[in-house]
Amino acid sequence: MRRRLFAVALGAACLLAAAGAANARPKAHVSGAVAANPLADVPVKLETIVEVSVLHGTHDERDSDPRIGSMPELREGPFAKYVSYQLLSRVRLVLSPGAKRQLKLPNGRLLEVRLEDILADGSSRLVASINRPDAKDFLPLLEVKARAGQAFIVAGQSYKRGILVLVFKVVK
Amino acid sequence: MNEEMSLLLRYADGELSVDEARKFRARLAESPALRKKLQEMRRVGGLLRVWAKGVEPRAANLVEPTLLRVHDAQRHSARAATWSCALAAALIVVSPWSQGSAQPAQPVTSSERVAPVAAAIERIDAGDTQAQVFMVGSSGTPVVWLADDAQEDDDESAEQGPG
Repeated sequence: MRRRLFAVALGAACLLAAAGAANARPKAHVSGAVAANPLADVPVKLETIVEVSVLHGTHDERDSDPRIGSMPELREGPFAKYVSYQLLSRVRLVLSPGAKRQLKLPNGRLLEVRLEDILADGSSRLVASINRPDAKDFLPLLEVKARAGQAFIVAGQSYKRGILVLVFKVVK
Repeated sequence: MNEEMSLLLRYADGELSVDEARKFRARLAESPALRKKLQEMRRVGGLLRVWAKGVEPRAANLVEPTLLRVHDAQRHSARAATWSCALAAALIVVSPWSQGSAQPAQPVTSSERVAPVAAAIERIDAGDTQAQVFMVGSSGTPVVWLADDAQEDDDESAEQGPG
C-alpha cells in the first residue's frame, strides 16, 4: 500500500513538473492545419480478426497436438478429464461490423460468428451461435466482449468419443 | 430424494458411468415424463443450483480459487497501471517530445486504469442445452461448457457434464 501511494505521488509530482516546464517556455504558434492529427482524415478500416481453433479432446493415450501451442487452460477443471487434444482446424475470420461468418464444425453443426460492434475502448462485441440446420438450436446466442489478445472458449459438444473445444481468440 | 431424481441429477451432472448413462438414456427414451423433468430442470436453471447444493464442497473448490484468481488479476492489473502512470509521467519529463508540448495532462479515469484482463461474457442463451460458465487459466479465460444431447453411434461420452 505504501509503495503504491509512493508511486502515485511520484507520478503526480512528475506530471506537475512536466506541466510547469511546458508552461514556462514560450509557445510557438501552431496553425490549425498543422496541429490537427495528419492521420485523422484517413479512413480507419473497422474490422476484427478472430482466430477460431477447433480442438478434439479425447481419452486416447497420445500426446496433444503441438500445433495447439501453450494452453495451460486445457489442464484445468473439466478439460483435465481428457488426456489428449488434437487440433482439427484453425481459421481466421475477418469481421466487419454487422458481417457474419459461418464455419462448419466436424459434428455437422454450424458455427456463426458476427461482429456486433467495435466499442470506443477498442474492444469488440462478438455474437456467436451454434446450430444444426435441421435440428433445434444448440447454442442460440452467446455475446462476448473481448479485445485483442483475449480469448474465450466454448466446449462440451460430443464428437467421436470425446468433446469439441472451440477456442476463440481476438487477434486484432 | 428418490432414486429416479438422484439418477436424473447424476446423469445431468455427468457422474454416471458409461453403462449407467446408457441404461438411463434408455429409460429416458421410454419415459416422456422423465424427459420432461430433465427439460424443465434445465430450462429454469434449477439444475445448476441443485448441483451446486448437492456437491457444495466440490463447487466451492471450483468457485473459490476462481474468485481468488479474479481478485489477484485485478489487483495486479491495478498495481501495474499505477506504476505505468508513474513511469509514463517520468518519461514525459525526460523525453524530448515533452519540451514543446502544451497539452494539458488528461486525467486518467478508473476504467482506463483497470482494464479487464479477460474477455467478458455479456449474454448467453443456451435454449434447452445445459450450460455452465466458469473461468480457467491465470488470465481468467471464460468458458461456456455445454452438455451435449446429440447421440453419436460411436460416442459413449455424450451427455457427460463438466463434473
